[in-house]
Amino acid sequence: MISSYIEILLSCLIFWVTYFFCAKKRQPVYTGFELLLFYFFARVFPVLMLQERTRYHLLCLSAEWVLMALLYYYLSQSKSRKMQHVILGFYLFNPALAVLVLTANIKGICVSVFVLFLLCAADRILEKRQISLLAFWPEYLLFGTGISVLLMAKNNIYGMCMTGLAVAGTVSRLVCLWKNPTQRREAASEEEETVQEPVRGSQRFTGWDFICMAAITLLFAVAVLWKLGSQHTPETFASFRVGNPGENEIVLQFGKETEISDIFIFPGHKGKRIISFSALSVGSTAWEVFDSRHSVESVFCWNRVAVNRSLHSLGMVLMEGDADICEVVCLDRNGQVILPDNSEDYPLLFDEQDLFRNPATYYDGTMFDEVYHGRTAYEFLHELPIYENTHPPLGKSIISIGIALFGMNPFGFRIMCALFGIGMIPLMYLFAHKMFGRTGVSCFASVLLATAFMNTTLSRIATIDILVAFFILGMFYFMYGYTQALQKREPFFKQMLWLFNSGLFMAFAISTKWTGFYGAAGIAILFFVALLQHIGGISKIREHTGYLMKTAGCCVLFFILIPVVIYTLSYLPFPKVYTDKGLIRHMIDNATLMLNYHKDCVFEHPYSSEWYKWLIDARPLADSRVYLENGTVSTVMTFFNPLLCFGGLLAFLHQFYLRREKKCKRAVFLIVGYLSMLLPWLIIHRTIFIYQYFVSGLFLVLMVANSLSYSRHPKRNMAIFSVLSVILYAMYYPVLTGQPVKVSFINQVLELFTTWNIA
Amino acid sequence: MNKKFIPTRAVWYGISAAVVILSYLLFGRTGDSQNRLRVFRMITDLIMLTCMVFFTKKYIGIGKKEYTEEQLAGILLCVGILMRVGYMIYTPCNVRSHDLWELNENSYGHASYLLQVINGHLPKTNTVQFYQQPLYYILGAAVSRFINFILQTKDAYSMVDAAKTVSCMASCISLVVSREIFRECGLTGRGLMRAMMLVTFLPVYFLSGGRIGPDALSGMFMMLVFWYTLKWFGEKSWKHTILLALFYGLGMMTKVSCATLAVFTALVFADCLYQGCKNGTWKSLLGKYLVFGVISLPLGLWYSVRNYLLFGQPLTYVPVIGEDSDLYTGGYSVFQRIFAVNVKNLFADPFAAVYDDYNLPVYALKSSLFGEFRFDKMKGIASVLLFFAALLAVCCMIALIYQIGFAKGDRMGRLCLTAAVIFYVGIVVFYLKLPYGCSMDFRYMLFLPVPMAVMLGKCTWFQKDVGRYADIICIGFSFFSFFMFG
Repeated sequence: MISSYIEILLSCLIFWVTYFFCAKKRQPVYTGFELLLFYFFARVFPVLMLQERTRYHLLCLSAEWVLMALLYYYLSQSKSRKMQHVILGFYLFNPALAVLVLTANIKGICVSVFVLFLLCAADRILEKRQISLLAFWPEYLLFGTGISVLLMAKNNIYGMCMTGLAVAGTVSRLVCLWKNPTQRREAASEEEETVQEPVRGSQRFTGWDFICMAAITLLFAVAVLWKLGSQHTPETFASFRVGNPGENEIVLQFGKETEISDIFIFPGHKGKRIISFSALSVGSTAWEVFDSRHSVESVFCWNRVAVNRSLHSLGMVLMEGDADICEVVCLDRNGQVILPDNSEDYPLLFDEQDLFRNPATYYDGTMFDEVYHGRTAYEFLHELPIYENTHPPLGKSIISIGIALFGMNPFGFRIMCALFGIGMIPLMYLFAHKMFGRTGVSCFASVLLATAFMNTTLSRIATIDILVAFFILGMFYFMYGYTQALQKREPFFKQMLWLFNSGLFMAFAISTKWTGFYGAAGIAILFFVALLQHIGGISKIREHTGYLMKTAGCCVLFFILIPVVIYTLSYLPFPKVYTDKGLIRHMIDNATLMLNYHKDCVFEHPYSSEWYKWLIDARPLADSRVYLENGTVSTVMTFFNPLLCFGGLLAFLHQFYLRREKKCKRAVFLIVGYLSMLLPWLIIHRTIFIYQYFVSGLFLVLMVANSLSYSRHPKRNMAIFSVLSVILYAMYYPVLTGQPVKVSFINQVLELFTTWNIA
Repeated sequence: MNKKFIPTRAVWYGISAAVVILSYLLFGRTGDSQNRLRVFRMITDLIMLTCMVFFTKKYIGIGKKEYTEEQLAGILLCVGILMRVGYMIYTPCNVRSHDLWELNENSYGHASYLLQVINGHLPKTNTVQFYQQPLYYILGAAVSRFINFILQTKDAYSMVDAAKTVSCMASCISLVVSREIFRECGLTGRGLMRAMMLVTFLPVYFLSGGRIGPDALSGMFMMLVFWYTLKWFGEKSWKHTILLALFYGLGMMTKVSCATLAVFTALVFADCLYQGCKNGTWKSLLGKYLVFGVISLPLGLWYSVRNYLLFGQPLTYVPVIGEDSDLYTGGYSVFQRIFAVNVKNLFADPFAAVYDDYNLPVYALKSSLFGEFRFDKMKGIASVLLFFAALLAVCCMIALIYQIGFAKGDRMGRLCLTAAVIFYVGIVVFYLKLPYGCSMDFRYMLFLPVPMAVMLGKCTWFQKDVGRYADIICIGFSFFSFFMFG
């Protein structure tokens, strides 16, 4: 419910803020299509977001149509068409009415009919005094907000205060207007003022552009590759099988009574690794089981098992599944490594003792979802049974290239993600250059992306999110290129080249993660809007049948056939391991599995966060956190640069103003891009994390650039913004990359909000 | 207009002092004269309500416009003084007090300090509250002796309680001085009324005026210092120089923190010297600076020097509570404590929680209304008051932005902005050095509302359309403050 309330709040905020700033110059005018969109976002979407809907919601939605019909009838009798649309916009963005529908409050809807009659009557009376009811919009909004707070919080005193303030405001305004009646302008002038976008620079990509792009990319590459991960971790392993005596147990003998504090196990890829630990003391004949079912959860990293006892022999019995164990390290009470007397019985378990690190950080092993993606990439490479199958395979196949080149170590499984993350900087540069045609703005966008925090973290972890982000960014970049090609009326071949590339990137994105579908929906909207604008509207379809048919044919090829082929081919590792099914069958079965998995994937997680918390950076995700000596900590946090997060949010609001007041076409592109990657998460009820917001965050970068390009001093403002962003990046770099940093520094300086749990 | 009676500044000072003393003499001994107290409250409430209704009626322009803004401001001054006196009368000295402690000479609290001075000597240690500057206690002792001589009382409670009148007088005079500052800054019309309503009804002035402690007096001296700096900026006469030096000296003799504004005055002095160098008047300015220093420094620092010599007490000494205290807030980051606005906390409970809260802006807002105290029986009204206060704070922030970016050529506005920023930075530094819940109390920021009120009054955005809500918010704030404390 909170999620829906916040959606209503945001929708109303966008509408009223845009109205407030636009109405200063002239009354905004809304088209029928816009009203339809308003209705969807203010009424239908919040209901869709609910986890449980009742028939009363449908009843309320239907009953409201009666209300709207009455209102429309009244307006059609007395107002111009433009005014009708403005008032309908007002009606739709009254938060109280939206909350009434959301809470299925049918009584409230009935009362609203009565209030509507009162308002119509008041309008008649005021009209005689030449006072427009629109003059009371602040009171209308305040009253609606007050009532909605009352509805949401039940007798909340602040709701009453707002309502009271609205009444006082109405009285005050009535007194003022009664004494000095001034009629508000009811409609905008017929001649719409055409506002030019800021002058675009040269579209040509110059040598200077190349130098700037390369320099920023290089600097970012250094930041990403710095201590990316160790190339030296245990790699040889011994296999153990459950149930077979002699093959399911390890017995370590120390020759004499020895104090063991901990043992560390570095498991390979296989099995569930449930192990029973027992100890045998001198003089005792019976084994003492001190941990009967210990789950050694994380693969390819050091797992600690607390022993804290004096023993002669240590027994480990595998309880469930098979397991590959790369290395076992025993520590005495002083934290020194002890080699068992019989270590030669298990040569593969004790051959890489010098690679043990205590404490082991992100640098020495897998962290967070690397235990799934890194491991599965390894399995793809070695044609082993596939563990992670809840996302399409392309991303893991890409990760496996790094493993093939550098081995199954942190550097090996992270390098490909790092390269793709680094590659996003020039891609963003090109995108910004295409969009703004200026070197300065392109540099600004690249710097902003490089210092976006999450870009760095996701580039340094072997998960598929940076890969899909790269592909989605490419997909939108090429679609933007297509819209520009249409505007410039470039040859058909060039137009199709842009579309082909966009389709190709879309295919890669979807083959990496299904979030690519969200982006696909976004580019579909942008494609149709651009195409319709190009041919001059729906009415001109018949005139351009030939051109449209050709385009449609290409689109089917680029956006359906080629992606289907690529997506299917991405499953090539599957039939190699599971030979019972063919490639296509694997693809279909896995799709069904993924659909069912993500539908029911709800679990408690300390770092999970709802979509509205992403907007304000409320819950950073800790990928790794290891407390070190001297009060320092090595922590890898996933979150956005607060400057970009909050600045981007303002820029997002500003895009609506730019679209309406300045007729900025870029703003529409950016809004659609941003929302296409965000809105699906509003109706998804699985457990989600802040990194799902990363792709939307890419559009925030361009939105900030767009907003600042309209400011009075764009160069100065961008320079200030960049400098602040770089300063913040430098401050937070250690906690983004796991470098040791004082806990007190984190607590005193870096933790901006109480919900941030960095250390 | 000349025929109408407009009280002069001196009359207002006189009225304030007389009302405070006489009221205390008539109704002062709270606890044993509840009936008289009720009658008094009824009368004052009636007067105040009449004044407020009358003012509101005139303010929104209903009825004949035969009264000047001077007289409207006068009505507000009257109500403000009555509110302060009323609160002082009905609040015993041991209710909503700070560090008063036991009413004897050996508890090291404010009461102890005062009783020692009444008995004719300054504290012989600097333990706990005895490190404080002495002016408040000296004045308190003198007034207490006078009042108790008339009332023929000698017990410790009466001796301590009567010293509240000094705080109350300081609070009332602060109000009059605020009006003078507004005049100096050129506030007129609705802007003047907004500013007046803010300083008249801000409850922290009632609270500080009704308790034993140097806060109200130091607040008054800060306002005087600010006012005379503005006057000196306009006219660099010897009279203004000497008075400014005196107020600085006395202010620092009340509380060393008065020196925070010295940065502001120093900037004004430096600017004037720079201008003087340009037009050749720098020699006379240097002379005035010298005289300023000769008067203010010995007056303001003699007690600090005494404490340094006797006890080795540093100039800016404040007793440190320690990190183990429940009041310690250093566990939160600087951003959370100082720059973020904890909206959740703001509306969760109208009252500040000194042991739990850590966010300076929210704590300052809450403590400007209710101090560190809870008024659970009036939680409803308190919540509404907080609602209006929060909106008023937003208006003040908007006015600040207006002053920073959009008020070109407004020198007085700029000076107010500079003073407010310097003072707030001082508060922030203080809180950074002493990260405890009590460091955020608005009783240390009594000066801040005045320059903010000037900016609120000067902001032209509040003159039209949605901005008119600033007026409604001010009126709402005034009424609910009255209901809460009147």
